[in-house]
Amino acid sequence: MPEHPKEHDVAALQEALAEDPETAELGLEVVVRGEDLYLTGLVASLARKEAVGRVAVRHAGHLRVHNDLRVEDPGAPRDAEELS
Amino acid sequence: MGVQDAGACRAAYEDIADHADVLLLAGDLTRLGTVEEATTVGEEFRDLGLPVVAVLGNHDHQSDHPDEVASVLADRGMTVLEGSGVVLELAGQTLGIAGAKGFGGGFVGRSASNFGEPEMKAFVGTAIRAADALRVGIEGLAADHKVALTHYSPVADTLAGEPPEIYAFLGSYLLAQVIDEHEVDLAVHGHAHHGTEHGRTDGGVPVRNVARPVIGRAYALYHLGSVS
Repeated sequence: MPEHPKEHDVAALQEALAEDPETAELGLEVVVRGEDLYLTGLVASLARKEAVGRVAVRHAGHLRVHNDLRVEDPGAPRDAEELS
Repeated sequence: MGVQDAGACRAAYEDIADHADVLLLAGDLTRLGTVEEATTVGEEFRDLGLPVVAVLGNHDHQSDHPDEVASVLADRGMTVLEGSGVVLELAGQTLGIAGAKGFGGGFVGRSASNFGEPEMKAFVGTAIRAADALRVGIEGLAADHKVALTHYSPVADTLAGEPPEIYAFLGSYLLAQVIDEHEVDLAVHGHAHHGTEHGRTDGGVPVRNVARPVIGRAYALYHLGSVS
């Protein structure tokens, strides 16, 4: 039997992360290496990071999920850009 | 924002009126476009001491209730634009803001064509109508400075960092054509979280991608004349 294509695992999880109402996250990077699945990218809060992790675990099957997502720093700007 | 994010953003905006004359929000204000989430967002951004002007994004359409989302936000003091504009008197000058969500479709030489299956024609037709909505908003403006506010990008410049294969889902050159046909001073958009902040239309209008992951902070400050 041919090995299950890893790209299908990546695509399925990316679809799940976009469509699952718990996450609704588009554009996160999902990488599968061997038996490990890595989530990278930036999310708005720690709660979002944890939600993505939960959805990933539900869909990862036998893969080990590594949640390497970073949380945005929502601070105010330090300066302004002059446009005129 | 989701309902569970209530209070998460407010602190960063508490003193914004000390630094800015108006706050523009480029869409994806909610996660799923529900009325409950719109209520949370509206409460987060109300009574900041300056006008708040927004367009909706694709997330705000996810639950198929964009009109209700816009209405809830407007009830809490936000001006939500879609094919419309607003002129504000600020710092001794007038600022005209035209807004429309926009849509995808792609960029010059790499765009979908209005040809083929009904689904393809519907996709391109939506892009055309989205650009026309921005045109309607801009044509009604008479102001010292004009800003085009969209969710989708008018240029490919500010998408650098996104996979090129999805550029057609992130913006449309039709938006830039509208911007370049009118005397617009600045175009602001969101949507492309992996893009880059700075770009320019072929006509030389500065374009700024203000998606939060791109600017790395709660908001960016731009000075136009005496207006921030």
